[in-house]
Amino acid sequence: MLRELIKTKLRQLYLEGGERVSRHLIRSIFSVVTFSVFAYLTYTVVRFATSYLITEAKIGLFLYHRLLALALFVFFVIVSVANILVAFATIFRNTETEYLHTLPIKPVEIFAAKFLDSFLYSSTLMLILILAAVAGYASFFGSGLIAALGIVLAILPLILSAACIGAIVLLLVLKFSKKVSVKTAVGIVALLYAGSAYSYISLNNPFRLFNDVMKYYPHIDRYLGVLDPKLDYFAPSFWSANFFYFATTGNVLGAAASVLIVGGTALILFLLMIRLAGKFYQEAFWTARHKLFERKVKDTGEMGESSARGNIKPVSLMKRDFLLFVREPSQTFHFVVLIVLIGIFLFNLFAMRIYLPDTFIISSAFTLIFAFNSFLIVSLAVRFVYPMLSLEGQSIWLVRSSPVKLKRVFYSKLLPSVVFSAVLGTLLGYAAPSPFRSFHGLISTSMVYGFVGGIIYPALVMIFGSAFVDYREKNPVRISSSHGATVSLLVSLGVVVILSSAVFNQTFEYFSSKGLLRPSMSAVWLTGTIALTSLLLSRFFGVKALQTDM
Amino acid sequence: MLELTSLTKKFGSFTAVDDLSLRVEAGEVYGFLGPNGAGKTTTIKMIATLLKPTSGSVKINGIDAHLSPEEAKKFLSYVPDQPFLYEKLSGREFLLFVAKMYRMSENETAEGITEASEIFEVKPWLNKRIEDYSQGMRQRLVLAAAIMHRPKLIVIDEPMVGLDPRGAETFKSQVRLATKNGTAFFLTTHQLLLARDICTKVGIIRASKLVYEGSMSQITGDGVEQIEKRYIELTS
Repeated sequence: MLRELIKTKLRQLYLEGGERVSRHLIRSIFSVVTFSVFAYLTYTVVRFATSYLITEAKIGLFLYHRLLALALFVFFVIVSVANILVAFATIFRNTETEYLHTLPIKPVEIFAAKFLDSFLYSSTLMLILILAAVAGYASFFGSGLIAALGIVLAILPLILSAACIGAIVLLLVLKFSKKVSVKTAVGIVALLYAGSAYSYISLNNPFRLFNDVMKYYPHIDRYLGVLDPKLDYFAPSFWSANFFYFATTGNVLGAAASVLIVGGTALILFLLMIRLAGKFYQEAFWTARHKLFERKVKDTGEMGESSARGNIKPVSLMKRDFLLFVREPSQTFHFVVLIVLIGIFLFNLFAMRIYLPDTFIISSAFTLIFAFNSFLIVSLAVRFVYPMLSLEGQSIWLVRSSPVKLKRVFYSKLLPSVVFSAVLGTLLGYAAPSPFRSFHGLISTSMVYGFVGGIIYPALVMIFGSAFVDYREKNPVRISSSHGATVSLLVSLGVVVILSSAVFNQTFEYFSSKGLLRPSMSAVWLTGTIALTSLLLSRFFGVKALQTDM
Repeated sequence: MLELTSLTKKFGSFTAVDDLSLRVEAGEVYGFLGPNGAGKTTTIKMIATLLKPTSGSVKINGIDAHLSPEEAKKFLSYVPDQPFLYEKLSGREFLLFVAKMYRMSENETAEGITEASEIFEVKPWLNKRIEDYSQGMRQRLVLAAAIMHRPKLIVIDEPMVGLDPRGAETFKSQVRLATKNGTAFFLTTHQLLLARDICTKVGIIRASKLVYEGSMSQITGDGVEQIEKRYIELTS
């Protein structure tokens, strides 16, 4: 039964981009090109960074692999959180899941099939990134075997563990949401995640570790496990990084032990998840459906069908979109979490002080903060702007049959997003230079780039949201985790790289000369042109998408 | 075949279904009627085990549907008003999938697909992808899937959605035929004429409570105007 379910799911997944290539030829080619370029960039960046850290900065193999452990930990947490969101949309609130529950199938089999669905759906980008990164790592150390073994034995079990933890957390939240409210349960989980991430990162502060390791100079390639905080042993990412350390230094026994721990953890978590699903999934499914219906009952009469009637003007459309947004818990919850995280990040930026003597390193540090700011805006855009047009599918009949200009419908979606993101970009641009000495001279340039980026990213993401529009999918989380969303993320990250390069060049000049920095006119022209082109293209594709034959 | 006992569903302070009890015997066609928002869909979703009752029970063929859902669903076919279909699969692949889920043998599957697709006239379309089907064709396919494994109870939310007159007539004749073999039907509809034509018993729900139960002829005699008048009286 489970085999049939999975076979049907895989067939459906395969055919999604399969035989109808002629219809989606441009999309497919574009996707392949984007994925390839991005994979190549990741490969190059990792290879360059590894080469720089080992041969130029000479930080030693141990510290390098501890930085790798930190990166893998961040990756682990991201995969786990992403899986909670996608798993909720896929395993609990999905029309197919509802259908499967009407058939005589064991709930645990439905859970297993939908877990696989959710896992494959949400991990494509992560897998590409990690494959390219491992290839970059292995090419520096000159061992394809380590890359192959690392991916299969250390990385895939790590991703599986993260996904299993996400699904277990979700099951427990729904299980206990009968006793405490969903908000409380989610709040506890958010605190647990934030607390463990904060503890791990504080305990593994790279600057402290750097000082500790350097006490052992010149024996810094040696395994200095005595420096590891004990908490690290509980993080599967730590053992994945250890595998790479031991494999690179030729310690077969150490590598094998690390693989056993990572693989064993994945297996235990998977079995635990299936066991918990066997116990709780049916109840949890009913709880999720009950909450959904409860909300529908509450909303009846306030919004109901009235949202689909009446005189359609841009303000009415914005109001409708706003109401639909705030009444969809997965949207508001995720939005609030991201905004709180941005708030914490801003607070830390204002509190942080960075003193670095080297011009190259200080410029890199500033550029990294700027790039991270841009990444935050891109994440918001992909999560919330990308699904906007697809979500119109539920009432596209109304839009198409009403006396309203389609470009107005489109503007009602794009403009609020652009305004919000431009304001956020400017604010983050204002905060980015504050950790640095003599930061005042940087502020105007940083704000200009932040503002322009804030216009570009939602417009760019909207282009892909239009080109890959899917009027049948109703779930915003699934839409924003789709293939097209991944492409939009990658292309936006490409623009982040371009803007960050411009910022790096200018900050390098600034920190070299200490003069007041003004944005260079050529960079302003370039970014302005990208912004304008993105806006025009997004309008073109957006209106086209609204005109698509249903 | 179907037994609802003191079935109640509450959402917070709102009671969607209140102390509902009814029985549908083998070979009966039970029409579950009522105005929008009365509690029909909530009841049907509890029968299909998509919602858990706040109290009370649903028994299908004597099995409690919420204590042993997998066992109970072996005897059930459920057709919602907006059924889910795998768009990228062909009609045949979809029917094969359903057959596997109901553990039909290869022979039973081959016979079932041929028979059900002929009855609902979807045979010429079986090798096409479902995404190319019209609304009516989808409904025919879903109905074919529903009868294919010969369930003892078929629960249908608005069976006539998208069906043309020929499809509707086929549906009615199939219902009559299936009841002779002992299949029970529980269906909701707003089409009073359909209820008159095929239902052996009707229940009318209003504001979450069952306000009437009996045969269609008890309500009305045979006149269409009479049926509508009496229905409006009962549901006002």
